[in-house]
Amino acid sequence: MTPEVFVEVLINGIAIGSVYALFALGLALIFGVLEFVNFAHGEFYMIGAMLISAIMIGTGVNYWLALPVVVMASLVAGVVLYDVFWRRLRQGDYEKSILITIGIALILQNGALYVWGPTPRLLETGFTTSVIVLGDLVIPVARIVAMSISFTVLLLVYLGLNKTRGGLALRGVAQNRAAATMVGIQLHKISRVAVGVGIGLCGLSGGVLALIYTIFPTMGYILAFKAFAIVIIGGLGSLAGAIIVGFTLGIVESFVTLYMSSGSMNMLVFGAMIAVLLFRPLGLFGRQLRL
Amino acid sequence: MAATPVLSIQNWACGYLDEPIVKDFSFDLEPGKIACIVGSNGAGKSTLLRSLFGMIKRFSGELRFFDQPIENMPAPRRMAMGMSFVPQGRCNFPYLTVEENMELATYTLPKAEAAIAVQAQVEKFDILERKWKDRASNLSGGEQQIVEMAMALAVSPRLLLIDEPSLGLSPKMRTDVFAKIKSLADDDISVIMVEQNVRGGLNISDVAVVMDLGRKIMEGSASEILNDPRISSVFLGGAPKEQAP
Amino acid sequence: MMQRRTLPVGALALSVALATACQGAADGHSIKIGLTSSFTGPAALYGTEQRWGVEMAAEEINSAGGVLGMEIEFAFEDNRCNPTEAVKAVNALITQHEVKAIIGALCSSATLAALPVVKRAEVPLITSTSTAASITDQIGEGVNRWAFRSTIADDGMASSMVAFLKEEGVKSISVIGEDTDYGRGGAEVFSAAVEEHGIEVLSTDFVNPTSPEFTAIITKLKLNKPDRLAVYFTSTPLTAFYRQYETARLNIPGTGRLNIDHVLTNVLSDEFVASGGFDGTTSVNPYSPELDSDANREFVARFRDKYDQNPSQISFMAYEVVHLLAEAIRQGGEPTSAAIRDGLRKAKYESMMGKTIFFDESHQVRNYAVVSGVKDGKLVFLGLSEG
Repeated sequence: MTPEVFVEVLINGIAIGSVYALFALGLALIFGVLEFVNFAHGEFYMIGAMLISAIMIGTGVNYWLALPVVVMASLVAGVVLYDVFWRRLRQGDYEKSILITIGIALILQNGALYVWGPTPRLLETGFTTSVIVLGDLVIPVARIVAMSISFTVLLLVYLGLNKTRGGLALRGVAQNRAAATMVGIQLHKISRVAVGVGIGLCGLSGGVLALIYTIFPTMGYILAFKAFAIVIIGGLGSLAGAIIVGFTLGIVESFVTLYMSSGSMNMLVFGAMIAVLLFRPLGLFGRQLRL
Repeated sequence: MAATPVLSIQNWACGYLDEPIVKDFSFDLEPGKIACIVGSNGAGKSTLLRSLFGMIKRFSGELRFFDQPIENMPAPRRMAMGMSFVPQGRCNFPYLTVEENMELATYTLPKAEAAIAVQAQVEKFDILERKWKDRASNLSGGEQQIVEMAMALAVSPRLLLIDEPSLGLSPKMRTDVFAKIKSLADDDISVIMVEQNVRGGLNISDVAVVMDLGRKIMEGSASEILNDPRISSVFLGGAPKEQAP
Repeated sequence: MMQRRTLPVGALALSVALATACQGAADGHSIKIGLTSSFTGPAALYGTEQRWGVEMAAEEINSAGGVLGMEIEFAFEDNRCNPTEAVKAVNALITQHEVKAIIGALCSSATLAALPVVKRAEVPLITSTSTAASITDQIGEGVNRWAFRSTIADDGMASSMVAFLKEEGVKSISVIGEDTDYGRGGAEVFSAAVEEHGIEVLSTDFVNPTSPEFTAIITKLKLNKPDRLAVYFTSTPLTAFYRQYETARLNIPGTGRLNIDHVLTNVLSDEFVASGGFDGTTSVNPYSPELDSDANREFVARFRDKYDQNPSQISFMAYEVVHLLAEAIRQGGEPTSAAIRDGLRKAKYESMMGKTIFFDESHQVRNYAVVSGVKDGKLVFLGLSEG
């Protein structure tokens, strides 16, 4: 492998890993606070991607205006989803939550098929196909943009959770709901924020990955299953775990698929997930890295 | 009975699902007093305590806190009025430091007031300062119990509801915890405590209520109850009673 | 997820059929045909295209008086290109919709799963799209007398494509395909043909059709530098792959069964195409809208009029198979599955591709394939070859 190829593969891995991290972070955040798995996570990602394409084509605005709109729309969708469904569930209503989120996933997927059709779409911005060429090194601009957005947002989420009272309260709720009630934290308020931010991050990753990938109604489920594996390997509800494993997976995948088919890569990922479930049920980082 | 009761419970019924667990419960707590609720497992003691804080469903009855009806208020409102609750089991934030735990304990207070309130507790409980940067889960059970009490007291409550404070503690820690509870009366904080360790609980209490199958079956001064032969036969080594579902 | 509806094809067609009911069974009965395809899932685009072709042909037939005095009515069942769902869909068409013949099941994997079902139920099935060479051995008089294929197969197309490449002086080829019976089958017959012509196969890779990430394969291609890249992808991976191909500034002409029109118009940027990034690409397909014949030009115009885009090969093949099936019903003389099956062995149809097609002993057809390519950033028609 030439040094140029090595650098290209590494940059690609970091770019994809950063978006995995963003997406898995949303899933982990919702799980951490509600203890429910959002099986519609992949579909919200797909809707994020579809929406940014629809907004840009429909109104002609540029990417940087459309992206915040998509994030806000996802955030609002998360809040509504919480108030309409999850809020009504009691702790431990796992079956109901699974059925509801799978139902939402199917509705979104088929709704997207109905509204936008099955044709794979591509996002056209001024830079989606631009590249930076340094000698033999070719770096796609879109990947650099995706990486920068992801890093910025990951940093913002970190600061929000660790440097604000609301963030502290959110971590408190994730750690002990009874104690949170005891100190007067309004669980519904915090849960609503967590779901809003979680789905917002999910819509954001859709808007960001739309720069790199094609957009079609079933694009969500592969990423969603990968994210489940990331979140489980990192430790359910562990945000730092989700981020670390997300990055690692992006980079490892990028190198390994050079020598293996992507099918075998998926086998590896889910094999690792099962091994973690068997031998370290709390995830690689256990509870040490919890919210 | 000249002073207004801190808490006045009238014909109270509460529970989780369709059937009330606690039925027709009435009790008045006078200011500065410690009340201990005793009874066999499943008598509805913890259920009663949780319902007083507004965490579970009320079926009927009245609840007045310093003469104000509060039965329809959510927990955070009751807290704002001066009621604090330390539930059974661990009720701290295990992966946060003691400092962060105290910060969350004063979550409902404005920031400036919160800092003062936390400082007051640090002065009262020296363990807080020693373990300030440690994660709560790294503290011993007794230390955690004290942190939890400090958390509940940080908002300067006038009434503390505390469920099984001595559960799982070493004899020495138990003595410490009971001493702390006893000293609350000096700050004019009234206490309703549920305690399995009947003797230890009653020793520091002023009044006692005995519950069975969701109802109050006896009420009196703590020493009366402690010396009642029927009580000692049931709780201090007598035959176990049939448990409520 | 299943689409379960029965649509009479066009109100106009109905009134015409009633007006011309003098041709026999005048009680207004229709003859029901099933279409199972991928209306949802990653190949949903092809399902839609297939439905367009089917509906257009049925409308034409019905407005011309139908067959045996009855109008053709279609029942649709989704199979998402999934073998299990294909079996369910075929069963539903036979038992619930009581169809007399079936067109389907779009993807080769799904068709292969449907073959034993129609054999048992004794209902004829014609696939107009499944080109996998593995299907060849599974249908025909001695094997499965109920299954037919109205399109030429990948092996025939591959060998004519490779002969063309050999003439161009190609020395090495990498093959990529989607991980399905279509992709694996196409890549396999293509590799076989390549080796037969003494061209080296540098690498063969398969990817999940919904996988969005192609960087690894692109890096591998960069390292291997093959003269040509043979692609066996349906629309979703095709779109995803060529977007990343462009951002990697790769310049390896494609070949195999590549939907050049789609890549040129929907995927690559104009600048990249103008810079010659896709030049030299060639592809073999059962049909191309560029085909130079009056019949085709007229067909393309009618299709564009109705659906506002060029007919894809899927639409084209769906359109022709319905006409062929209508002829078979006429030949059979009775609206029963057995009569239609016998009719299929007798029916002949003048394909727009230039041959009269009919099912031989092994239930295959012979037809021309189109070789097209990219020159100076434009899709050009290079010729017809025997498929």
